[in-house]
Amino acid sequence: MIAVEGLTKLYGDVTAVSDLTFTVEPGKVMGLVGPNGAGKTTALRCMAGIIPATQGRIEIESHDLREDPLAAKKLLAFFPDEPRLFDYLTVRQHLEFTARLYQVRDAADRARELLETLELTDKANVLPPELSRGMKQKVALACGFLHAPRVMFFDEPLTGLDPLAIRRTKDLIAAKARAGVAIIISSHLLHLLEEVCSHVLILKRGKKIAHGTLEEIRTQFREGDRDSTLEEIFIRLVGEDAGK
Amino acid sequence: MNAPVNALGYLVTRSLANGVLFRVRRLRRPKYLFGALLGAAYFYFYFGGFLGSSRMPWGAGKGTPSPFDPEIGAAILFLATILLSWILPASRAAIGFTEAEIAFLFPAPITRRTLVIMRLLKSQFGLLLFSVFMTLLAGQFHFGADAWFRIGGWWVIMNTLNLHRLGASFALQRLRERGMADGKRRTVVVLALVALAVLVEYTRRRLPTPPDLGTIAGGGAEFTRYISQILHTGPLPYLLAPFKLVMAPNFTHDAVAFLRALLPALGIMALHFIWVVRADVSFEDASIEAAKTRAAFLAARGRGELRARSGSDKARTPLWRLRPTGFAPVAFVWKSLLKAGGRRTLTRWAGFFAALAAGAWALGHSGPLSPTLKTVAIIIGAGCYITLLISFVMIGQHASAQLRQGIAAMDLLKTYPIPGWQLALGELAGPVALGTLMQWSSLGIATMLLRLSGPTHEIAPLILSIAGVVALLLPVFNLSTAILPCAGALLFPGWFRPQEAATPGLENTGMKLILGIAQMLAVIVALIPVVFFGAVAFFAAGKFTAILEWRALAAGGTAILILAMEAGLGVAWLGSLYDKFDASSDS
Repeated sequence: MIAVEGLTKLYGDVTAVSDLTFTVEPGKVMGLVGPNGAGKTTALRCMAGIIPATQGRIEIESHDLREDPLAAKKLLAFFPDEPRLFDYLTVRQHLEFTARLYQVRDAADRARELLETLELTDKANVLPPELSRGMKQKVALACGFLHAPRVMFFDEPLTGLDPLAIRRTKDLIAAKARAGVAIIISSHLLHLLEEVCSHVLILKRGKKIAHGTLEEIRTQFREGDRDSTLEEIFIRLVGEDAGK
Repeated sequence: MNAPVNALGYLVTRSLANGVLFRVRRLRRPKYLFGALLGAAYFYFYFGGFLGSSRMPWGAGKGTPSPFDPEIGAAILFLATILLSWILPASRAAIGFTEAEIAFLFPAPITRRTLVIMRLLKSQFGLLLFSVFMTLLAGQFHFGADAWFRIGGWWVIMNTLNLHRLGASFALQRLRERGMADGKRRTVVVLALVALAVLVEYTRRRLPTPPDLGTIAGGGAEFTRYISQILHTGPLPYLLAPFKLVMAPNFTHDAVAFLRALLPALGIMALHFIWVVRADVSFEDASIEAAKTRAAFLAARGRGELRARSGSDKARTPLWRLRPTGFAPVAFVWKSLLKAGGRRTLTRWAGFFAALAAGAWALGHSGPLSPTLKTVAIIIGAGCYITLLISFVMIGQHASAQLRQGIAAMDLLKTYPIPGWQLALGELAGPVALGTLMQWSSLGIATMLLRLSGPTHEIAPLILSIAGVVALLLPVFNLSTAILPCAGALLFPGWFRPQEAATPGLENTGMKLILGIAQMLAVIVALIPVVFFGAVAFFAAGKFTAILEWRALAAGGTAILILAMEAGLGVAWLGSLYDKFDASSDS
C-alpha cells in the first residue's frame, strides 16, 4: 500500500507539489494525470525516495520513507520515462547488478523467468546501445520486477512504444496489480490509462483537483454527458493548462 | 553498507571489462584500427620523452639555489583552488552521478551516506589515472618504486581537493537551507580575502620597495626574489602551513622523507573524508539536474556542438533582419552568426578587438616604451600571431564540424529547393566569415604593433603591401582549405560520425590526429598552385617594374585569383557531393 499525506515539494520559492494526500491499496492502479509541469514526475520521485519531500509523510507498505528509507525502498520500484541503462553492462549483467543492490537470493531463477517473459533471452548478452528503445524499456522493467516489489511507480511508461509493446506493458502492469502490487502510473495517454487504472488523480500546478475511481470522477465532473471520457473530463478540469 | 559497495564493485569491473572488449572488437573497422595505431604512437612518443628523461628523480632540486620555494608556490595554488570552491560553487550541492546511476541507485535501498561513499570510491579510478598523468607531466615518472610514491603524492592532493570541493558545497547547501543567502556567503569569503590582502600588505610594508614589473621580461629573478621574501615574512607562512602539509610528499627527496610527509597529508585527507560523509545534506535534486545537464552536454558534443543548449538560453538578436527572398546561402550565414551568439556576443567581440586595436595604435604612436609596456606589447603581438596560425587549421575544422552537423539533418536539407552548391556555400560561408573577421583583427593589430620593432617607429611600405595582400587572401584561402575536410565528411561519412568521435579513447585521439593531418595536407595542397603562380607573377612583373611593392601586389593579386578559382571549383564539387549524398551510407 502507498499512503501519502500532505506531500509538498518546494524548489526555492516555487511549489512543485502542494499538500497531496491519497492512498493506493494493494492491487489497485492509480493514474496520475496532469498537464506538463503539473508536478507528476516530482511527486513520483518524492514517493519513490529519489528526492526528499519538503513536507509530508509517505508510507510504503507501512514503512515511513523518511524514518526507515531502506525498508521502504526494498519494497518499491521506480520506472523513469526514459529507460536509462549502463552503456557497458549487458542485459544479464543489469539484472545481476540489480540483484546485488536489492540482495535478491534467488536472482538467477527470477532473472531467467523475467528474460523469458519479456522475450529478452536472446538479448541477454547484448549491450544497451545495440537495443531498440522498446527493448531498453523491457530491460528496465525486468530490473524493476526482479526484487518482486509491492509498490511500483511508472513515469510515462507507454510513451515512444509501438502498439504491440504498449499492449504488452499494459498487460504486465495489470498482471502485477492482480498479484496485489499497488501501482501509480503517470501518463498523457488518457484512453490507455482508462483501460488500466482503477483510480485517477488529476494534478494542476502541483495541486490535486480531482481524485477517485474512474466512475466517481465521471459522476462528479460529467456535466450532463453520462459517458464522458477521461480525456473530456481532463480537458474540462485542466482548461487552459492543457496542451502547454 | 557491504551490499551497495559490492554492487558498485561489480558495476565498475564489469563496465571496464565490457568497455575494453567493445573497443577491442571495434578495431576490426579500419577507422578505429588506424585511429588506435596513430593514437598509441602519439602517446608513446609524447610520453616516451617523459619516461626516458626522468626529469626530476629523487634528489633533483635538492640544494638547487632558487630564490623561490616551489613548495610555497604549490601551497598558494592549492589555497587558491580551495578558495574558489567557496566563492564559485554550483547553486546547489550536487554529486556527479550519471543518469543510469541515478535511475538504479537513488530508488534502491541505499542510504545517503552510502551514496556519497559509492561516488567517492568510483571517482578513485579517475583520480588515480589523473595522478599518473600529473606525475608524467611533472617529469617525475620513471620506472621503479619512486614513480609509485610520486603517484601516491598526487593522489592525496587530488583526493583532498575533491573532498574539499564536495565538503564546501555541502556546507554551503546547509547554510542555504538555514537561510543564508548566496550574497551573504560571498560577502564572508570576500571579507576573508580582504583580511588576507591586509596581511599581505602589512608584510609588504616591512619589506624593501618592489622591483619594476618590467623586470619580468628580463627573466624575473629580482621579482621572484621579492615575492619569495613576502611569502616568508609575517603571518603568511603560518597561513600556508596546512596547505604545505598536503603538498609536502611531492617535494621530498627520498622514500623515507616521503613516507614521513605522507602521514600528515593522509591525516588531512582523512579529516576531509569524515567531514564529507558526516554531512547529511540533500544533494539529490541538484544531482539529477547535474546528470541531465551532463547528458545534454555529451549529446551536444555527439552532434559536434561545443556546448549544450540549456533551457535558460535566451533568444538572440540577429545581426540583420533576413528578407524572405534573395540568395539562399545568405540565410545559412545569418543562421551561423545567430548560432555564434547573435548581435550581442558579436558586438562584444568586436568591442574587444577594437579596444585591442586602439591600444596597439596608441602603443605604436607613443614615444619610447617602458619595459612594462614593451612586455604588454610583446604579449598582445604574440597572441595575434598565434591566433592567426591556429586559425589556418581551425577554420577548416570548424566548417567541417558545422557541415557534419548538417549531415545529421540531411533529410531536412535535401528537401530544400536549393542546388547542392548553394547548400555547400551556405554551410561554409558562416564559419569562414567569422574566422576571417577574427583573422583580419589579429592581422591589423599585429601590423600596428610592428611599428615598435624598428628604431623609427614606421612600418615599411612593403610590409603594409604584404599585410594588405594577406588580408585579401584570407577569405578565399579559408574557403579553399575548408573544402577538403568537408568533402571528406561527405565522401566517407562513416569516418566522420560525430557521436562516435565523442567517445574518448586512444582511437579517438588517433582519429582526431588523422583529421588534423588531413587538414594540414589540405592547406599544403591548396597552397602549391597559389605559390607557383604567385612566384611566376612576381618574376614576370620584374620585367615591367623594379619596385618591390608593385611586384608583391602582382604576386598577391595572382594568388587571390588562383585561390578564388580553387574555392569556386571546390564549392561546385562539394555541391555535387551534396546532391549525390546518401545519408544511409556507411563507407
